Amino acid sequence: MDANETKIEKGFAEGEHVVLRPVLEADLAELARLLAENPLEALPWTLQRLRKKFEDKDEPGLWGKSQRYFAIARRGGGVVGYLKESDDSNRGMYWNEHHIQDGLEDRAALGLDAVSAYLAYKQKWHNPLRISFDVLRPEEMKIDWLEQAGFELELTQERIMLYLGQPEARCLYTWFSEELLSAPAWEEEEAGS
Amino acid sequence: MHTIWTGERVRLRPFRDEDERCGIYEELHVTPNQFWGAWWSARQKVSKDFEEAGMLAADKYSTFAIERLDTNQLVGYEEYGIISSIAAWVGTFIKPEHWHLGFGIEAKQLCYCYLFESFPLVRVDSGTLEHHLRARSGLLKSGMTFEGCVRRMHPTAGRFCDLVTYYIFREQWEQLPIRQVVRRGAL
Repeated sequence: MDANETKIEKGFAEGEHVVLRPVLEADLAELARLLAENPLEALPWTLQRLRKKFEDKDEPGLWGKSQRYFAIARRGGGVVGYLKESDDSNRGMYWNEHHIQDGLEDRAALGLDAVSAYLAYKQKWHNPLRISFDVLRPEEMKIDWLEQAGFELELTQERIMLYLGQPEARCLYTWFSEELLSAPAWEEEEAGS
Repeated sequence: MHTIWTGERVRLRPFRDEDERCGIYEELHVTPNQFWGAWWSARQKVSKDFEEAGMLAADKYSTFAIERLDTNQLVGYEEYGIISSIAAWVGTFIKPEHWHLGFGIEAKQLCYCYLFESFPLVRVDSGTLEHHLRARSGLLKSGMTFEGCVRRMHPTAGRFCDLVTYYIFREQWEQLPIRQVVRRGAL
């Protein structure tokens, strides 16, 4: 089946224009191309590499205990992006990357819709404490989606990755839950030396 | 590339064997860390990591043994990992009885030498918890610069702690006095 034949309108997260759902085998060719487009990805993604990961014995389907891939698909259309979600041993904290196909006419609308739908999904089902996205500073459109969806710039790490052959900054954008912000912080008098 | 890096107080070297690596790991982490909390991997996991190449690699989590020069005792371990093609991170664990002697600071600086001399890196990173003042001071003394804060990202002892991050760029490392004293390779 061709990736564009995957026309599932439902997903874990549903926006106005897109749905976010687990990756299906039919999505792999498109997903490999999208992974290769994302400048945050360190590996040269090929279909072979992605298929091997998809068929991993311990964590099949790109849906593991600590890392999960969501396909971002147009409603009634093909896959146009992905979101990679990672969590560590700290409950409710998520560390993500995302990408929408370069050059699409409606890329700005799709990206904002995807990020907003994902945030709503996490809030509804997972009681997140904090959700962060890494993004390279030159990727202004991605930053715009995050800011419009309610994420704030938390950390900028200068000259940490190559982008078009030059060292560039990576930014961390975060959404904080009220629960986290109102939870007890470490008091100065508790500090050790 | 060299795998032994010697300064004025300590030496970084590969662990001699799996027992040495697992032994110091268990000694340091069998009780919860005062700042980070419980921090533990089973011996089987540590052994598996060691098996492949003695825990020194160009592209995955790696550790050096830290040995003090005056007594030749193993005092801790220096760890590093690759973030991207131009960035890496480091971390240091020293046994408490060897604290306050500058071993951790020099171990970091030796690791900067190893990383910047062996790989085309632009920067090396590190981080610690906001209230871990001794570690923060050590990072600054090693030549790093404060960069920023990741808020409330680490829960420990019923509290949420901020992570503070530090970096050193290649041109900053080039100015460090350690470069005048570092010895590379077996003596």
